[in-house]
Amino acid sequence: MVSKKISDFKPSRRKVLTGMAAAGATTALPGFVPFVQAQSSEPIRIGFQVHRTGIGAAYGRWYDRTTMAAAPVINDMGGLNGRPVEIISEDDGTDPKRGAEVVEKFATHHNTDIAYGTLFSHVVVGSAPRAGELKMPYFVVSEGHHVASGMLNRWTLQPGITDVKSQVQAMAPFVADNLGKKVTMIFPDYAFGHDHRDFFSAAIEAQGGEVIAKLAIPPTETSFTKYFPQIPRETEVIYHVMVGPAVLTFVKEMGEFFGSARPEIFGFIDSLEAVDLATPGLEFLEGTYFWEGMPRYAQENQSEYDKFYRAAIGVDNNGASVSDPKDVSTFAHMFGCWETLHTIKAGMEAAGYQGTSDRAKLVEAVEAMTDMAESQAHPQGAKVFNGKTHQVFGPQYISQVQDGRLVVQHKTALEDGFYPDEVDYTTQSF
Amino acid sequence: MAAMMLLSTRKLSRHFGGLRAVENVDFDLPEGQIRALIGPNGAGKTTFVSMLCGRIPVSSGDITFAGENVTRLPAHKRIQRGMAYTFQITSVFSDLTVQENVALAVQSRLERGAVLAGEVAKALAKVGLQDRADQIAGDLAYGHQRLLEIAMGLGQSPRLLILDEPTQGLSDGEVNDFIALIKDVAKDTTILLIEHNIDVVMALADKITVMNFGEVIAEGTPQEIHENATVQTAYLGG
Amino acid sequence: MLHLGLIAALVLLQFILPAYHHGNLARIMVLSVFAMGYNIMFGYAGLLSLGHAMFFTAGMYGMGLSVRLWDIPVGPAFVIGIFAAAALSLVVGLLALRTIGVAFMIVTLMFSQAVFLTILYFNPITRGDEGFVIAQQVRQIAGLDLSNPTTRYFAALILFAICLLAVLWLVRSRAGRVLIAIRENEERARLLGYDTWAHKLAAVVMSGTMAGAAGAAYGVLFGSVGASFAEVPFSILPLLYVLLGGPGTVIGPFVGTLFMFYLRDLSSSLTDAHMLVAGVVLILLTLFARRGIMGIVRERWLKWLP
Ligand SMILES: Nc1ncnc2c1ncn2[C@@H]1O[C@H](COP(=O)(O)OP(=O)(O)OP(=O)(O)O)[C@@H](O)[C@H]1O
Ligand SMILES: [Mg+2]
Repeated sequence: MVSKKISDFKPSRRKVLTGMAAAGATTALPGFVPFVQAQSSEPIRIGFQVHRTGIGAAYGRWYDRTTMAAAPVINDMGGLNGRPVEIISEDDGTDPKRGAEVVEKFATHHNTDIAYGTLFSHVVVGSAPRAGELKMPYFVVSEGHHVASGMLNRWTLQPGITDVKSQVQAMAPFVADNLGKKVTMIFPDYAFGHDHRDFFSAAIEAQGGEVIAKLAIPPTETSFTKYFPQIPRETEVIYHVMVGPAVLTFVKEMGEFFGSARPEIFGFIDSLEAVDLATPGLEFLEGTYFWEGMPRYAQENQSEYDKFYRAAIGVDNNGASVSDPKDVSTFAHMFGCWETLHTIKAGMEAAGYQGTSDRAKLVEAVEAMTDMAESQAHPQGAKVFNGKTHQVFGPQYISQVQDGRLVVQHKTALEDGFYPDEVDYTTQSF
Repeated sequence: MAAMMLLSTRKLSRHFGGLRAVENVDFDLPEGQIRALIGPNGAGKTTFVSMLCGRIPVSSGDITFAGENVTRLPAHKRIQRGMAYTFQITSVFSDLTVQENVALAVQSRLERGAVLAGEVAKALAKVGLQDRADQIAGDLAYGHQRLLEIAMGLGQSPRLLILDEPTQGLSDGEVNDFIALIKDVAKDTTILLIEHNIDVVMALADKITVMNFGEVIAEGTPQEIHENATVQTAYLGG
Repeated sequence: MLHLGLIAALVLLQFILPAYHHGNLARIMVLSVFAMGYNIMFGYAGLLSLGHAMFFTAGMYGMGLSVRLWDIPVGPAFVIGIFAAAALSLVVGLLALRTIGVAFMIVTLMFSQAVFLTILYFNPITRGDEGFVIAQQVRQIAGLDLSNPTTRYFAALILFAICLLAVLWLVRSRAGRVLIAIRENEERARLLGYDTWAHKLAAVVMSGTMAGAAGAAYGVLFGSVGASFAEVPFSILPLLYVLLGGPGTVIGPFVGTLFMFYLRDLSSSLTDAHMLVAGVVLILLTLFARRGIMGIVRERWLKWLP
């Protein structure tokens, strides 16, 4: 499987290049001939907006691997409406400006059928307007609340991963029931952190709990010792979500501050995606809890779908690359790529998608989806898609660090993550 | 009090740390005069005139120009009131052409157009650089850069032209031309000339001021200075 | 002549360019307005700023927040953006021009960083790092839909042409000559009677305002506003554009933006190391082509080029 993955990856990349060279030659001519509708045997072209460089690179690498593993699986299943899928990758540098340019490039240069794969919220926000204007179905795998908040447009959908509002909200019952009701939150002082602060504060209150302190850490901070004394004594649970390279320092300093007498600690694994839990300095996390989008370590009751999915990508039972155990994946998020691609397949089949003129039909077909059963296409778990808000809702996992591994303690119900619709995209015209 | 004093200083001083580069200088320059300022190296001449034109701030004392106390005025305002200063260390716009250099000087008092071009040509002709108008200033020979520096001073049509060692680096022929030029310019411009070449001083100066160790040690006609014992000692390093 | 020719060529290109390059060129025109603004300060007045992203962002957020918070139509919002950038550049100019050289670079860098952090700090208003969208339906001026490719192209072209001609006028004006004099030798300029400080301040304000116009236009034409435009790399970008195109030339910024854009576009398809490519270009420039493309053209062939 792994060698297949790698060999699949390279030719498709080369194909992109030759394709580009050809397109470059055409465009050099003054009388440029507009794109002619592909023959039905031609591949469906999916423009993959990937964070190959910039701050999203660690995630991007695994989004890439997952995507490149899913494509041949889909092709083996007969492709999309009998046509093979071809992934055309473009690096966006994790930069919204470049992101928008890449979406344009997909639409007008590579002539892809759709655009897909963006993770970082600011890149989504920068790119989605262009996708909307170009009438390009844009499937993001971002976990941001931007889609469901109504900020984006009819052409932008998030069918493969739950948004942060739902994730955070679904944590509250477990935290209140098992860890404590008096919570101190530590979060980065920018949009992502503020989403956590706002969504969780509301959710824990609904559970009869309370956030007693909110410590917003400036994004430029490299040492945290001065913040820990601000944690109130009566704190029962610390809720942390730190991202970026400072997370190791954060954990280490938190350990030094509390020693053995610590409150319960709950965090979002986002901080430690692609980070080995055996990294020296993380010992303090033993016994603490984490949200995981999908369990990084294969659990005792591992499903056959999980098994298949890991094998296809080349990830071992510890969530690391089979060829390099030190190369830890972004397991809690990257399933979103796999599932989104499968949803695109289902959508195209439901829409009878033939070519770019059917793009609106594809969006409508996805909007019409509701239940997604746990399956090879959806190894993370059964989901329900909300066609009005363009957002999927799935289960969340809460795991405890035991002997340096994450062991699932609780899987949330879909209902835990539901909230009232904030938009109905289906009322917008195409 | 016969002639109007164009420029006066009172107790003018400038210290660099502990070094008293200029100390309590009282100086009067009547309108229309050619005044030479001489003194050994390091006497404080450049420092003194730099304070006059505002290139460096004073430590204490006052400067009066055309009846106005200009001590606190920034350099460009003093220039606008009619001072011009040519640098001892050549300071032209070396990436621009000769013509552009002079145009910048002329332009500070004029608007652009035909007048500008005429004035630039006139200033260049006076120093004999008219044939080099389109050369890049930085490519000129050192002597020609000195002449350009002077042309920029002339281009400003100042009331007071301060020349800091203008003949340094000029050939004998050019020095003679320079003497003639200044005699001509002096008809309607007051001149303060720092000069080491004693022949130039003798040929031009109406009056000479001598500085040493930051102070004025003598002042008088060329004849008087020539005969002054203190001056002789200063120059001989006594 | 050359400049009118360039504008005419850009008008023509609208009709013959394939969609992809057509879209790119609209972007390049907006970004080269940013670079032209940068060039006023760096190329003409010799002031090296490392914080121009703040002016771009001031325009962008001045426009964007007017739309987002008060539902002001994008036309007036665009003007508000320009005023925001002008005001910011005046303040920054008044403070930063007290320093020179490396200190000036650092001060501008810090101001720009402060603007970035301010955007993050006011997250509830600005949506912080995530940014926000200017909805397609409000992006209209006088009934023209600015998200339409042709309209967008011409809107970008009009802005570009105005700025190009403004810079051309500036460098031919007395003030423009003085800026060059300041760049070449500030003390000499001062001692020719020029108020160099006032000229530099004017250069900062013009430069910042033009950068702000680019930022506001970017938001209006491409529909999103985000804090990443306030980050340090976005301050380095115009410097690169100008260095490549030719500092102190009127069309250099456009040429540099065009080259860098396509260099980035091609290199990111060929290699992951597009930042490395940019770095190598920068090093090669400083080693072999300090005057940039148009600077070399001027030196070799077109001596009269402004
Ligand atoms: N910026 C400065 N900082 C410190 N010392 C200075 C400075 N400028 C001048 N000096 C010192 O002040 C004294 C006077 O210098 P100044 O240049 O005025 O002398 P000068 O009479 O013009 O000499 P020369 O005939 O060599 O040009 C010298 O000792 C010089 O070293
Ligand atoms: Mg001297």
